[in-house]
Amino acid sequence: MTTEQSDDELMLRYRDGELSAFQELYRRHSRGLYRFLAWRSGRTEWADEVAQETWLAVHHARTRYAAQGSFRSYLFRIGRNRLADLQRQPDTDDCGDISLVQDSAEATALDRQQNQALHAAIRQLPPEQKEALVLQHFSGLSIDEIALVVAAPSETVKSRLRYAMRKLREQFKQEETV
Amino acid sequence: MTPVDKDDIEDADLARRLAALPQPEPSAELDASILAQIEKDLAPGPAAANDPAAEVPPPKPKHRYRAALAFAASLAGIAILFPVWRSYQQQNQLHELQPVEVRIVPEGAPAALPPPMISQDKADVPAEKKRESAIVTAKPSPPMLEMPVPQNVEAPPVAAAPPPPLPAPEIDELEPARASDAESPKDWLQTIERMLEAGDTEAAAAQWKRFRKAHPDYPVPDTLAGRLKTLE
Repeated sequence: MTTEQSDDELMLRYRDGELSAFQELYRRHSRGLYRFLAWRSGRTEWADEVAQETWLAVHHARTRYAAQGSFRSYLFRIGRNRLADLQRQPDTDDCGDISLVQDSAEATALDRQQNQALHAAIRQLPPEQKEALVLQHFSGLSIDEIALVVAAPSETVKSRLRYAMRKLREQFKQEETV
Repeated sequence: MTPVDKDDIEDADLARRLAALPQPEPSAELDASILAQIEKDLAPGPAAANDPAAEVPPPKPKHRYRAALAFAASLAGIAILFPVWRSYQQQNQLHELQPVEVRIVPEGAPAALPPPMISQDKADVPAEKKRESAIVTAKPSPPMLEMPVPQNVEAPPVAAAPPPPLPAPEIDELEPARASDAESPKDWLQTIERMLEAGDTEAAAAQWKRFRKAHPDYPVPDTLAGRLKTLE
């Protein structure tokens, strides 16, 4: 029986130059990070750019990494900061293309319609609520991890999630009524 | 069914729909690009046939040169100490060769007056008188300036010239600041802010670059980050 190594253990091995440890970390978290960046930025090219920068920043700062049990929060914080840096640039606009994510070929017309409505509803959420929702449901972070990433108390994160879910429910009720 | 239960059921349904929502995924090219960069940085490049051989550091002079180094150190010690010892020797010899000057005090002289100081060879005193006199003290001889004294003893000590100032260490822009690593990220940001307020934009931009490299995950206030972005 093999015990799966924790992220911190992998990070320490990676710090010592073990490439396979990095590959395992990347396999575990690259999708979640990318989803977060794509949803938050709304643009796939930004998500590509920032994802690359984030992993390289982790690489360059690996010797200073302090194992505190939450590599994922550390990784997402870097990505969030990088994205914020990018979005502050004056020549950027906010019109994203994230809604262009294609449904699978097996999806029915109803599924596609519902997915599009859900996409639209999520995009209309306030940024803090959308961020918390994406981190929890699409990237799989816990409440405590989200609190670390967004630098807010856990209770605040719970509250944002509650409001986000309520708004999405109301949105669907309206659609069903229509 | 209470309203809370109903909300929970609806939340569960919504969560299921959220989980089924198609998600943006990193492309295979992006994955390959990131992994290739990390791999390239981590792994040393393969050695080509015409690559220069790896330089073997020279062995430290621990055992092989121990005897030779000890001998050289001894010689150096002798070369430094011998002239000093020699000059002291010469001084002592000269002291011994100098005639001793004798101060003769007549018996009837009052104690308060200083006795006449005359040299023994120049004293024009009868032998009987000499015998009645007492030898009071011996005076060291002629001044040192008349003696041949080695140059290195007489020469005043020359103040050593101050060492030339060390060249300022070059700071690599791409490396995180080493000096600033010691201070906390908050203090560092305040330093950068002060630089901005003082109009030192170039230094602020450089510090900001280093800061981001050293603390990629540290949240920066929007106002400060906005000002720094305008610099770029």
